[in-house]
Amino acid sequence: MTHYAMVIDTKTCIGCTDCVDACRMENNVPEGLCYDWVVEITTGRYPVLKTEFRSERCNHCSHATCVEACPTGASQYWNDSNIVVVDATKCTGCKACIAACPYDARLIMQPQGYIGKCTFCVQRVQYGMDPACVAVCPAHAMHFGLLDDPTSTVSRLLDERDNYTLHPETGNHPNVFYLR
Amino acid sequence: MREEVLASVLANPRVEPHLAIWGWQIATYLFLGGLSAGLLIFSGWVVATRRVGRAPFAANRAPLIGLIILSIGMGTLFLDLERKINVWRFYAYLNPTSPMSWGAWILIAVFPVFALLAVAGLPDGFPQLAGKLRELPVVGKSTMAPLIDMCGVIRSPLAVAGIGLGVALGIYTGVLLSGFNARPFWHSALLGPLFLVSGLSTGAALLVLGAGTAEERHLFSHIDLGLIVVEIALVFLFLIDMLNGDALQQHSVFLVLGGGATELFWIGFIGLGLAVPLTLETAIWQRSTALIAGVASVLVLVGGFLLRDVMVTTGQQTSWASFHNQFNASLLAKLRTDGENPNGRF
Ligand code: SF4
Ligand code: SF4
Repeated sequence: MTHYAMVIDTKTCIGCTDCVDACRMENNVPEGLCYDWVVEITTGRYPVLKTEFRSERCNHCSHATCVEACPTGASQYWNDSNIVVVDATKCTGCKACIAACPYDARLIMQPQGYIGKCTFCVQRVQYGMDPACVAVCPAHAMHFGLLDDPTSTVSRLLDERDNYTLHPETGNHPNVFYLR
Repeated sequence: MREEVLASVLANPRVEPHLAIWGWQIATYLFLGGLSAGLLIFSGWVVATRRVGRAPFAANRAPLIGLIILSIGMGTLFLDLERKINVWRFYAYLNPTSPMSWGAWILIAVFPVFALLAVAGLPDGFPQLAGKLRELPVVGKSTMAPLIDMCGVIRSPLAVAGIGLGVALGIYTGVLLSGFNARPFWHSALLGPLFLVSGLSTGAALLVLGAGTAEERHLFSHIDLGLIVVEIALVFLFLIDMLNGDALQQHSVFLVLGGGATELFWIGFIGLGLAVPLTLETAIWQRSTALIAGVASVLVLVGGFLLRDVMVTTGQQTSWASFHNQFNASLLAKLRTDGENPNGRF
């Protein structure tokens, strides 16, 4: 299985939400919906506070519960990789996958009714380009690449820097990593 | 302190309520599916154990009524699909890890057995209808009459198959929810048995309402009493399971222990749906009256729906992720120790 990962540096992210807008443009996300979002985490005690921004999206889990829950095979791994996509021609809109995603990364496309989500921009990745959010980030806080390749930027960053994933206790093996 | 606030929007039901996962359609479907499973099991049991004479309604009429109820349930399931045109895709694939997929195939298996049992019950249950079917032009003599006779002959094996499939259908309605690790409030294996017992209990309640004889009414209100006791035990085991669960489950169960669903759960489901029928049916254990047994049964049915409704609605509000999606004034008030009104400047 080809193992893609996204590595996001919370030390350089400035929370500008450009990734959200780039995604909307690239993927024609219906108005009012989004495939990615930015969370602002404040920790500490006033006046000594610390802020961290986290750009979140589908984690393209290696053990994707959404794919497991889909009754029709519409939710699937793309090209034997961990990239999870939805085949709109097979999707019934039963929403089992929405219930099954611990990261709330899925949504109903309005008005068509099939399920939409971050696809790591497979339409770009298949030509060797970065996903739109990664490409547009003005702070160069986001990185994308293959974890199978130990020399790739993402592998190197994960080797060198302290990092975490969101709720690894879900058992889903999320593949969006955050550097701190 | 630790505060997570959304800096951008999130297309999530807790931010946008209209994006909620499942609504009344799925709650109704789970209720009607469980109810018809209960009818199928009792009907199968009555036929298989040769109690047809003692429980004529359960044996002869209940299958047809159950079939109609199941069809309505499947109708509401269909209503819930956001992309109805692809509904046939359920039957182009079997995903062994998906309870939803299992359910779709169980329904396909249940339907013909249910229908044949219904036909077998026609001559005694709905003699006029059976007569009309036999006299239909063209298909009446050639197809309908032999079909009705054949169903009568294979009634016992059908009944046994019906019991097995009914149990599968009843459990599945609970497993559909409990299979989601992503929703802490659903993630308990007790939901399968709980929904099965609730389905049986609502089934028995409907049989009490329709009972052909006083003896039949007596039989099923006694059975229902036992089922209500088991259901109460399972509900409390479920709550204990949640309270002893991980932090997410402990947190989620407070939605019915003081949170938004508390009244519906305790007054509606536990009170009206379980405790009152339990009391009524205990009171008429010796000498049953149709009126009190009927009231108890209606309450059991209402309780059965409320259980599904509370579980479906509450469960989907629980999640691994939790953000504040708006400015939280009370949090700021806690941070300020100098007494200034935090809202004064906004
Ligand atoms: S984050 Fe959710 S939608 Fe994405 S792969 Fe994991 S379970 Fe599926
Ligand atoms: S909504 Fe579509 S993608 Fe999701 S589980 Fe149902 S059929 Fe699969």
